[in-house]
Amino acid sequence: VNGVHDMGGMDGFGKVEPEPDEPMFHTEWEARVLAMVRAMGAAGAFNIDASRFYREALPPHVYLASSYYKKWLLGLEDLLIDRGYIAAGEIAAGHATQPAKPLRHGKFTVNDVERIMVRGKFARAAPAPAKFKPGDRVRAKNMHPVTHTRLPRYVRGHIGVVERDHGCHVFPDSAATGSGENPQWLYTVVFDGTELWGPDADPTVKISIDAFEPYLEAA
Amino acid sequence: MRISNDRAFGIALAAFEPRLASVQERRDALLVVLRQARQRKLVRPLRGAELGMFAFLDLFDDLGAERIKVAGIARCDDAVIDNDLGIFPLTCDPAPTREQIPAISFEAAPRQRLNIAPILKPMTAPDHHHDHDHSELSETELRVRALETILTEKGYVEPAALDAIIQAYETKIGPHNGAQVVAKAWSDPAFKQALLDDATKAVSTLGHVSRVGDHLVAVENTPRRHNMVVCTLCSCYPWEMLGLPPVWYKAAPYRSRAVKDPRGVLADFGVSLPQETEIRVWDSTAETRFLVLPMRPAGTEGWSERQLAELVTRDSMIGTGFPKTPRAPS
Repeated sequence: VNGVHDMGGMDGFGKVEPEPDEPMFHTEWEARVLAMVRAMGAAGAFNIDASRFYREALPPHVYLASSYYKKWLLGLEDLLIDRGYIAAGEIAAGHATQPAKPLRHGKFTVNDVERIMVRGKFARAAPAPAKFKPGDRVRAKNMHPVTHTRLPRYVRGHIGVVERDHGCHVFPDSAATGSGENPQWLYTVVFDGTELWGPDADPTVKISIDAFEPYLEAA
Repeated sequence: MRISNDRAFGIALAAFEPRLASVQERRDALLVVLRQARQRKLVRPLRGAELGMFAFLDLFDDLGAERIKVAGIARCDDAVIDNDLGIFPLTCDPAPTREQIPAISFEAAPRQRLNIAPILKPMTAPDHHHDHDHSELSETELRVRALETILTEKGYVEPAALDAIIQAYETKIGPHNGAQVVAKAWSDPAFKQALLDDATKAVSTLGHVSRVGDHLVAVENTPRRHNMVVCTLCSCYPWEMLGLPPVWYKAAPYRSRAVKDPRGVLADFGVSLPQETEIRVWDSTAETRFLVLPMRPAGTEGWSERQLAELVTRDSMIGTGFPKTPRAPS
């Protein structure tokens, strides 16, 4: 989806403002939101790609005006409602009023905490040989799916070079919509700054993305 | 059951019981009430200040607290309104000015109609300016609590498990993990090569660095090339190595500019590189996670890994900073 979340290259957001001695959470509720997202994901209500998709799907003015964890909260509510784990009326009531829907991995308990603090594995067996190899010139496709994608707009249509092959990984574009893992080859593709930003761009800058094979065509 | 916002309750209590004059007395009384409420399982989940306060009224009724009288409750998280004592703003963000108070919309609690007339008058009473530090019972906070209540009541999550997740984030991950890896790479050429070849595998051999993630890629800074990591689409970050990302990493200014004007972004951090240095920006668009291996500072010959690790900053492993300048080893 061509959303405001796809921020690479946008102007007008001002300076980066690091906060000295920044706390891990600025309010208690931020921590609760993080914990609920992790817990419900681990319990099987959704995967990481779906949770990203729901944050991206927030209306642009809401996305831009909301703090980071506020976006997490809004995305979590929408996702749980759409998948039938909670009802909008329950949020309004502040109580459960409907029966629970069984979770794929069951209730999230203290015994599950350890496993979610280890990062998941996204590599999968390859269903087909890789089309590209390091050194190949590739063009990022000019594609504009209305669903989730991890191909940022600022590289679309531009030519880069495959630098690394990461093997086959879960394809977020499929996983986000519940269409299965559909594993795809994943490559680091490097672009010259001048290729992306024009001849006046800083010639010492190179930018890479990690691109799934369906995002690329030979160039 | 989690108690919602004790300071907001404290303000409410002050409104209800004028004889509790000091903040300390109000808090003490509040604690007694809440303790009894917990024992009798009477504290209810909150949804909005109006529900919270209704629940609170029920609670007081249930506890037989006859001395406490309430005239009405404002809606929209705004205030507790007492016919005798006036309006007590709770959560307006920003807090309403006196001029704005008449514009606050409200409706009466169902059990008693609200008399609007006294609302403005008490605002001028000097002893009602007592508690300016009352906490924000914000709409978001209430919404988060409502959601947690629902997830708990439906049996999806244990609240204690949420506590444990937060505790794990607060204690088990953080830039100290990445700093250990960097310091070892600075000290041990074989480890450094293994790290650059396959960071996931190399880091997993360090027993003392726990919870290593999959798909970790270490990228080395050299005099000719400086690496910088961003996630333009969201907030991907090697949190097992560096902890949760700082706000600036997740915010629009960094995400928008890092790929287009990395030297300008570095200038925001007070970092300047030679003009001929290549800058390589890694946009974390998949599940690969990037850890920058900064250059070892000069003047650290013979330092132990522990001493070296103290020089490694979080930002130096993102590529928006350098390691600390060494002083004499401690």
